[in-house]
Amino acid sequence: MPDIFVAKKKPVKTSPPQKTNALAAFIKKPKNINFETQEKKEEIVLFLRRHWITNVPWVLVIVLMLVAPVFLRFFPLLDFLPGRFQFITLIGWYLLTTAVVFEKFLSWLFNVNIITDERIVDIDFPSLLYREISSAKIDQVQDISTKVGGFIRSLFNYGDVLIQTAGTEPEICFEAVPQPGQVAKILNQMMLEEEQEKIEGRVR
Amino acid sequence: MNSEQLIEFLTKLAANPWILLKILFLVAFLIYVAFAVIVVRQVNLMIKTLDGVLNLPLRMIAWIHLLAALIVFVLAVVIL
Repeated sequence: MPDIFVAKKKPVKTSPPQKTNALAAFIKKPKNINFETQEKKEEIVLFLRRHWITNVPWVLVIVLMLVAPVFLRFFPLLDFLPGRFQFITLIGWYLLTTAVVFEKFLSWLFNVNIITDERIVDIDFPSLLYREISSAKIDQVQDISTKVGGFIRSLFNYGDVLIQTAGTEPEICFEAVPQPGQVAKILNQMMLEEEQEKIEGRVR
Repeated sequence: MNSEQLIEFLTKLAANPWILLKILFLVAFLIYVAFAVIVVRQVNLMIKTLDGVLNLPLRMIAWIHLLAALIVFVLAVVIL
């Protein structure tokens, strides 16, 4: 029996996959990035991490740590130590600085938020060898709100995206991500598509 | 350690108080080496969780950092 009414499939506006810059904070459809709990047919739609400007405070601290030994010439705090101890202390200091740089960089690089065609995923590494992965299906998302406040956040267009869900994780927060308005728009669009799929009975 | 050995050790310590500082430095660097090992494991865990983000350079940096920590520990043993 011929169908009386066939709903036209709305063409989904999606940009082509971008050439992935591993250090970018806002990547649409990244190539060559996968996460551990990703399913075979699941595609990453948006890959986010904190805006690069959020790194400025710790970079300034590192600059201070790097130049701190120079001030020992003017304030000889270590002069009571023999030369060999001063030398090893200096090497130890720079080793510690290296560790701080590496840890801070890793924290920025791997604390990410991912929106796939099926769900939203929040990957956090709050401390050494500890990780938190929270996720919620798109159809469980109930409310999306964005928060951009303050001079720096407005200037560089970054902020928080708060996602209320009906899942086990009641709220997922994308912290200090670039273009929060755009993120919310994409999420809203995906929620509509998901609802449309439910109405039409399409199940992936 | 019996009482004679303890007295001998304390006498040595009194003659050269920097030995105590050397021990403190070595303990600190040993803790740092342990930290560097944890960093290597952390990088592996992170790469396993999120594959495709600078995998090779990060692994290399973590191993070089561990190697540097070991070299500094050995240097401290020799120099101090």
